[in-house]
Amino acid sequence: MTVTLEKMRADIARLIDLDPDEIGNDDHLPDLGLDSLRLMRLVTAWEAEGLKLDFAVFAESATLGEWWEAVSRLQAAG
Amino acid sequence: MTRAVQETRPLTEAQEGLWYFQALDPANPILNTGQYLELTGAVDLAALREAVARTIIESEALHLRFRTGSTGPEQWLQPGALSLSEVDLTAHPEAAAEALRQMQADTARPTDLAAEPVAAFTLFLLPDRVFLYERIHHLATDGYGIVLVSNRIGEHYGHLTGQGPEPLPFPPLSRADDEDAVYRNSPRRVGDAAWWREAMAGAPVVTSPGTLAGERAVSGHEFHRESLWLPEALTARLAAFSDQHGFGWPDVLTALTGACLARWSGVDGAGGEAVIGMPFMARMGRKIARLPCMAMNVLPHRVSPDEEAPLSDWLGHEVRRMREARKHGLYRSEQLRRDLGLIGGARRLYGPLVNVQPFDRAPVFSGLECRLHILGAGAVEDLTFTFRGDPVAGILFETDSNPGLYSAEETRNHGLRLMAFIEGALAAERLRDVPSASPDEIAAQDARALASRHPVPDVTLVDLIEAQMRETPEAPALRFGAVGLSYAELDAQTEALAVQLRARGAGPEQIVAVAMERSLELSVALVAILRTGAAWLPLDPDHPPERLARILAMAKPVLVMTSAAIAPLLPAEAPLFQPADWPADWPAQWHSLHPAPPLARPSGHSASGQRCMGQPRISFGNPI
Repeated sequence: MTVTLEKMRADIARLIDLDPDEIGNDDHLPDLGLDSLRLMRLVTAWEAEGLKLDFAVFAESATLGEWWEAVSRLQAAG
Repeated sequence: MTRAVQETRPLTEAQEGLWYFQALDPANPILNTGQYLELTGAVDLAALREAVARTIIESEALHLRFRTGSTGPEQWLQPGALSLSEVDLTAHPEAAAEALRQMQADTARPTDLAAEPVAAFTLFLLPDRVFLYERIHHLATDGYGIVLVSNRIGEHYGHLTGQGPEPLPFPPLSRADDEDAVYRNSPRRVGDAAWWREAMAGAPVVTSPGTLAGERAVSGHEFHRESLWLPEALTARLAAFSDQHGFGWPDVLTALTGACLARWSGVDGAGGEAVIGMPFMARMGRKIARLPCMAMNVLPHRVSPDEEAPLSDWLGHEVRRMREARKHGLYRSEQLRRDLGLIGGARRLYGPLVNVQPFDRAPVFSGLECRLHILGAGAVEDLTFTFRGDPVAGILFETDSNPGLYSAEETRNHGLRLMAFIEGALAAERLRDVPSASPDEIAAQDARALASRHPVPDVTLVDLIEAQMRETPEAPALRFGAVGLSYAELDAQTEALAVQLRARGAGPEQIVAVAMERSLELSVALVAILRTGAAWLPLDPDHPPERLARILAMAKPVLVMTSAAIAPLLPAEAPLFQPADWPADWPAQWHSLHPAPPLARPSGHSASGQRCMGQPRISFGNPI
């Protein structure tokens, strides 16, 4: 499992034309321009790297902090 | 599963607009969203039945009921009444057609929202495949909610047949109420309201290809539909173009559709600006993201294309504007209409809908082939262009229209025209280079132009009229009610009038305006004007006097031929010329002398004057 918090931050940033340091853990990602289609691309890419987390679980939360919490939980369990 | 009947709850903001639409017209079935899955292969029927049963149990929205309560509309959950039905058509000679007939009949039946389930699930067993029909009222779930339900049936099926994990259950429906309450009372809502008011300031009165400014567009009970798959070359080009510029392809489709529609506006001062409706999922980052419920909103989007700019510049601008609008997308468009005073079917917030649904693909059923067929997806007020799927899986393109505003043929042509426009735009440097007409229309127009080519004699219209008057002097030329003129009389009267008109300045390169009721005098006046060599400018006396004055000021006619009744509507300083000023023997002479002309039809003459009593027609003999 190679997905880290900083990798997620960098991937999101690339997709919405921002610098990684512009994305705080509590920032509202849809407000930064992340739409469902971009999210789908992210989740598909992460899935290819071994992260088996449902798209809808990401969509339910609006911040990277919450995402990372779900990812950590899964990685700890798995 | 047995559960107690729950207490009632008010509707969410997202549901309220749909409720009032349905309450105004309870017999309207258009909010029944229906679709069916076509499953081929070795279907495990027991697993499929169980998959549907499990999905029904875990999707609380399917158990909603609605009614008018003491403080407004309310909803409650009534589980236990909904289950899968089955229709065995394995021995039916035309099983697919019969299944389709039954599904359409069910979708076309209005739902009694208080007394029966909002949804229905039916399994049609055909000789070679099965259809799984799903019908859910829009108040219970939006389009994405139906996608979630259909996908869930597939996930349960996969699990039950040992080919997938057990799906994570749907969250409780109470999350929809919680999200609604949070937003209703948030400062964010206040900020969104202000943002939208500013965004819509100075918006044009909404028009569309089928409606003029101020025309009503309210969904009927049915709609026209024209479906086709976007060609693979087009979807590949769309994906490559969008990737190249870093745009989301759904935004590119939406913006180009808006640009095509803007070509249809631009009348009555709209200035080439279209206002389209963009359905918005309103789920991203919210606790309802994977909950079947009604959440979607329709965002008004103003499109006034820069036809000269490099296409990618203009699209980049549009993509940023759409992204900005979505940040404020939880603010209900029904509320925005009230804010802006746009109430009633004739005062609209947006015209045609452009609905891009990347997630609306056929669900996955392990070991089976599954195709998705959409029967209806909600109200169709005007035109709705829907793009389902994605460039890899294929994009199904549907043009739906309100039959009160568009014929089936017009609907089809709008779809084909839009597809050609998108295709052309993706290959163009800028919008200006993209034709509005489809290639078929351009070819048909060229063919018509070619077919109508024939030698034309080098004569004027007046030459032809005068030749006809000489050729058949006794034949009836004009008839109005009980009176009329022969060609000889028409010749004499119009020549006498033409002399007077020439004396007052009428002649070649001049304009004579005409504002008269339908009458013999009107037709005589028009022929007389032609005989002077002037052009006539018809004025509609039903137009407001200010408009008539504006037209006269622009056209500067040498004369305005009018009648005593209409003259007061025209500017006093206009060079008015009324029948009272016409030649002395006009019109008393022939009124008394010719009570009715003979009705015999002279050879080579139009009979239209005899068929359309009360409407003067001039028979000019041979077509010119």
